[in-house]
Amino acid sequence: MMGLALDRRNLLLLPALLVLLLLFLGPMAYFFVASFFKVSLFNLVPTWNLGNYQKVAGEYGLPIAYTMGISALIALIATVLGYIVAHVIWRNPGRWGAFLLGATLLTLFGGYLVKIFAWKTILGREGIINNTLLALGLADQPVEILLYSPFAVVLVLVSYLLPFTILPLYGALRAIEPTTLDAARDLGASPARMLWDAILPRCIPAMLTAFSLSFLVSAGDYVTPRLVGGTRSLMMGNFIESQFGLRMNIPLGAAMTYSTMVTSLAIIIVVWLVLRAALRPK
Amino acid sequence: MKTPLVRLEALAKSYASVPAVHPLDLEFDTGDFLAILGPSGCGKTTLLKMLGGFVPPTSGRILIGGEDVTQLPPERRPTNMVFQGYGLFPHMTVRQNIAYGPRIAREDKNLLARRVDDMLALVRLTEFGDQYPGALSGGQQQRVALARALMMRPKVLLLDEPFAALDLKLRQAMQEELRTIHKNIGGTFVFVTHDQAEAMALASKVVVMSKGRVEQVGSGEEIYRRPKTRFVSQFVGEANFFAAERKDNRVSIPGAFTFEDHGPDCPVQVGVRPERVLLGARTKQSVQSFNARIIDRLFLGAQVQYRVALPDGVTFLATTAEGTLQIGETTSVGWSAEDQWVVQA
Repeated sequence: MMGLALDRRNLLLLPALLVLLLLFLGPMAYFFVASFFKVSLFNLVPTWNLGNYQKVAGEYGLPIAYTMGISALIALIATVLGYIVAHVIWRNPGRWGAFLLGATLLTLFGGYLVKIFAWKTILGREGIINNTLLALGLADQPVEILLYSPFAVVLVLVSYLLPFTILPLYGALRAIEPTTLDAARDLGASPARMLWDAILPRCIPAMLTAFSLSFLVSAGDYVTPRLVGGTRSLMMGNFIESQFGLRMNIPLGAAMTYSTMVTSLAIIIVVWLVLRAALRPK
Repeated sequence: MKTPLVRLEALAKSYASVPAVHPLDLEFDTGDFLAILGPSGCGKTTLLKMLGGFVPPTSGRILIGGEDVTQLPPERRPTNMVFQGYGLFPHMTVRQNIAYGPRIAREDKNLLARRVDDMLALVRLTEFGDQYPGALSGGQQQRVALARALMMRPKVLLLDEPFAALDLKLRQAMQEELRTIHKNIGGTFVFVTHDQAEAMALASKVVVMSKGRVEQVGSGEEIYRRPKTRFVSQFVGEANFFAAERKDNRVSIPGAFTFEDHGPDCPVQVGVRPERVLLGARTKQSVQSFNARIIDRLFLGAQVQYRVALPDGVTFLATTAEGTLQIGETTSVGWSAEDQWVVQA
C-alpha cells in the first residue's frame, strides 16, 4: 500500500478518490453513525442506542421481507430474460443480433420517468390495453389490476432494468470461444448440456452482476412503487424516503437503510453461492 | 467384400450456392492415418467438419462402420475432434477437461479416474492434472485436447490443423508423439493440413484437395513420385514442367528427348523434380539425356541449385549436392525414366 501511495502516477487517481470519499463514503459513514442516534423535536441527539434497529426489527420486518421478495423476483425475471436476449444476440451475429443489440442500447436513451409514464399510458384505466379490451368486448369494465399493483411494479422495473442485465451477460457470452461449444457437442453433450456445462459457468460473474444490479435498484427504488404501485405497496424505499422527508427522522431512516442494505447483501451472497455450487464443474 | 470403416458418397457442401466441396467419394479403413492436404480455401476443413457433424452436407452420404451418420449431430457420432485452437474448457482443470465426455456419458467413477490417469501418462501430463488450461503452454494444451478426444475411444479421430499454432521444434516433437500414439493405440486418425511435409511424414494415405475437389489419393510416396495433376506436382514439392507432344504413344520434349508413354495424341506436360535431374558425368547410359547450358547457379548450403536452359530457351531447375559446374558451361543433363511423369497440358 505504501508503494502504491508513493507512486506519482497514482496521484492521478486522487480527484476520483476525493469525489468518492466526499460524495459516497462520507455520507455513508455519517448515516451509519446517525443510525445509532435519537431524534428529539426534529433535532439529532447523539445518544448511542439500538432503539432504531429494534424498531426496524419490530415494525418493518414484513416490509423488508416483502421488498426483498419482490426485488428478488424482479431481479430473477430481468436476469433470465436478459440472458435469453443476450444469448440470441450472441448466437445471431448477423441482422437479428445487431438489431436486438441496437434496440437494447436505444432503450438506454429513454429516461427513467419517461418509461414509467409510458407504462402508465399503456396500463392505466384509460390506457391502451384497457381501451382495446373494452372496444373488443373482452372486458365489461377497465381491468384495475394492470396498474397500481405489485404486478405493475414488477413489469415496469423489469422493462427498465433489462438493458442493464443484457449488456453484462452479452459481454460474458462474447468472451466464450465458439470452439469450446463445438467441443462440448463433440464429447457427447446435448445442446442443453452444452449450455449448462460450457456456457453458463462462464457467465457466473455476469449473472451475479446482472442480478445484483437489478436487485439493488429494485430494493432501493421508491419512485416506481409510488407512481405505478399504488398505496398498498409495501416497498422499503418508500418508507425510508418518508423518514428522511416528511417525518424528518434521519436516525430511523438510516437504520432502515442499513438493515435493508445488509439483508440485500446477504441475499446476493446466497445467490452467488447457489450459482457457484450449481454450475461448478465436476 | 469387407465394408470400409468410413465411406463418403458424393458428399458435397455449398454455401449460398457457392460450392465449397464438390461431390466427392472417398473410402478409408481402420488403422489408416489419413491426411487431407491442400491450400487454404480448398475445402479440407469443411470436409473434416462434415465428418465430425459440425457442417451439414448439402448432398451425399457419410457412412461410418456401415451406418449412415449423415443426419446425426456431433454428440451421436463415433468421431471425436481435436480442434484448431483446441477448444479446451477454461473453467475446468485438465483432469475435468479430459474426463468430460465419459463423465456425461455416466461412466463409472473409479474406472474413469483410472482411465484419466492412464491418459495423462500417455500424453505426459501427469503432473498437470489439477492445473487450468490457461496455465499450460500451447504444446501442453494440444496434448490435453488430444487426450480429451482419445478418452472417447472414437472410431475416427479428427484433427483440424493440429500443429498449425506451434513453432517448428514443437511441431516436430508433437508429430513424433502423434505417430507414436497412433502406433500404440491404433485407431483411425484423419487430419487436415496445408503442410505437405507434415502430411508425408505422418500419413499412411494422403488426400490432396484443390478448389473443393479431390485431386489425388495415395501414399505420400505415390503423390510425390507419381502426381496425377500439375496442381499436385507443384503442391507437394518443387517441379519442373516441359511442354511436350504425345503422338503414337511417344512423348517428345522439344530439344531434349522422346520416350514411350501410352495415351491419346495430345499436348502434354512432362514433370520432373529438380533433385532428380542429373548433371554432367552422372548422366550415364541408362538415363535419358541431352545437352543444355547452365545460366544461373545458386549456393544453398547443403545443395547447389542450377538454372538450366534448353536451346529453345526453356529453362528448368536442377539441384545437386556437388556444385562444380559454372555459369555458361554446356553440360549433359538428364534423368531416369522412372523419375518423370506425364500430366495433361
